[in-house]
Amino acid sequence: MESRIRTVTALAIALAWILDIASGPSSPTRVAPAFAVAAGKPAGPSAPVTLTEVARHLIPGDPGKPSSHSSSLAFVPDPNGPGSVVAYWFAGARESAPDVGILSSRYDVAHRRWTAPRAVVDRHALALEMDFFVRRLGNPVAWVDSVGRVHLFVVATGLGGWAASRVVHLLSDDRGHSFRPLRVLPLSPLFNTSHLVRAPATALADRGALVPLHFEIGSKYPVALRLSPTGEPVEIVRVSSDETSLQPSIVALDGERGLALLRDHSDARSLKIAGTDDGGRSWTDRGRTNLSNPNSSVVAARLPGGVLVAALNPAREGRTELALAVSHDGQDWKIERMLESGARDEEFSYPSLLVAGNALHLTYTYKRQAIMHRVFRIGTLAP
Amino acid sequence: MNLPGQTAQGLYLDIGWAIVLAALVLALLGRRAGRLGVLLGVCGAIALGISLPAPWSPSFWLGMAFQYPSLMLVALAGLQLLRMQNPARWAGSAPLLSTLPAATLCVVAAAVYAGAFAFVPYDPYAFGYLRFAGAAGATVLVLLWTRFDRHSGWSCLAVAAAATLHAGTRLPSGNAWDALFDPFLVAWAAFVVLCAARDRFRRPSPALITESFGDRS
Repeated sequence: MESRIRTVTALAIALAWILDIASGPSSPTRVAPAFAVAAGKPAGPSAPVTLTEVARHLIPGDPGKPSSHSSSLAFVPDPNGPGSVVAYWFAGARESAPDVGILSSRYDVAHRRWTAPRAVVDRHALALEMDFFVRRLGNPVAWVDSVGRVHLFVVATGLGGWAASRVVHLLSDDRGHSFRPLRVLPLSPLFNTSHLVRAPATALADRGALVPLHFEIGSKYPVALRLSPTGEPVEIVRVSSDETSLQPSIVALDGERGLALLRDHSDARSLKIAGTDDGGRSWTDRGRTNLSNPNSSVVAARLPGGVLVAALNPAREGRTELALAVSHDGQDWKIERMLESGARDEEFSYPSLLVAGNALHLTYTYKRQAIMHRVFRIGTLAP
Repeated sequence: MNLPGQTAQGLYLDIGWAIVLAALVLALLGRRAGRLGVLLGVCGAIALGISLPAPWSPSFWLGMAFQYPSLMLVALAGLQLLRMQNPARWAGSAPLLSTLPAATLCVVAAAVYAGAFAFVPYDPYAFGYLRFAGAAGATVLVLLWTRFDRHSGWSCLAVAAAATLHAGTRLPSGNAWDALFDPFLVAWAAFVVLCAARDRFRRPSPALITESFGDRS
């Protein structure tokens, strides 16, 4: 019997090798990625920019879902039209309530108005499609791939609180109107728990993207998931060795260099950064910036001229203030303008930025009741 | 990365947990599990339960809490069920998870879990996505176990089966580590190692026995 077991074992091992060899390359592209910015454009001092506010709206919500939070913006192209800016966010009776679902709305640029909200996914429908129960939903992040399909990454929790989160990958073939789940992203060996997504994906030169994520339970550290041009996961890299950093927002400085702005979970309460010089394949910690961070989500974007812009809560404590800050190098930031300054119990948080043409779109949680949308025209100052 | 499709994962969620649950329940029943009627009854009941629609199926809740069992755990549970079909035939056979395989799994899992919790600066979990990770890992384990543990036949068979299924389907998650172990299997392995350590401490060494007899003579 022993010899028979040994023979079957040897045959099985040989078959495993044959199947692996026959399966071909495991991922479409394992070459070094680069960020999708104008090729050869030098980083560093760039022309001063002006941001002129041209529109401001509260995105209409679902009256039955009084609490709204954590929006994400994406530009969805349309072969028959100019395309549209689409917002996704989660809404329900309160954060983590059983009725929380992901809503979406489209912005009509010509008429400067948002469509009525549309339910994209709720936890019951998702659970039935995934074949396992989902306790709560949160933080949607949208990304449009090279063929115009919309990918939505949504936080879905298992047994426990947000620390028991997983990231579900959904796909839409109809420009973001309806989604089907592809899979739970495999990110952790511990029942695949404790990874969350928050900030938008960063475009790569191969038309893929880097999706920023973070590990939550115990040590909090950021990671980036590289996607192929069609949205297939390619590889995961750790963005920082710091254990009190979460919710990275990745922004390109040029084709190879990029920065990740990091929410600070430590007592220092200041915005941290990590950097890459190889298009996001490897990262090193770059210390702290001159901005405070009250343990709150921050997002950054690169404007067409190369200036970096970030939306964040600038106070050391609380989320009652929200600001736009600009920087030429990602290290030294200047508050460009205060966007909100509320009373003690008011919250303005979890911003999202999208550069579309010469417009900067910003959405953020408005008093936990709605999603605010503001549009800025990007201009440059004559030197 | 080469990841499994959602349909395959859904099927595996049901089948994998059904096999693990059946083996667990029968193990808890002890000697009564040796009767064919009990064996078939338990397997049938679990198969029926798992095939119930979503809210009533145990896999619907196990998947929420624990996602998918590793292929190695399912393979060991499957071998356990196979042995239970004819207990007399397998009486005195080597354990499914012998000491060296158990200890190896504990060490490998500790390294991977340490990376996941950022206790160490590297993350071995990412290597699990490499194309040959499963086959290479299984080959190393089988060679190691065969060389140093003569009771490891069943463990070798289970890890080889897990590697083969992973290579063919990329189940359960696309990552080879998830195919080779999961926290439940690691807990079992840790239990095996602790039992072996306890037995080693309890059993008097040959030198002591000789000494003891010498004193009496």
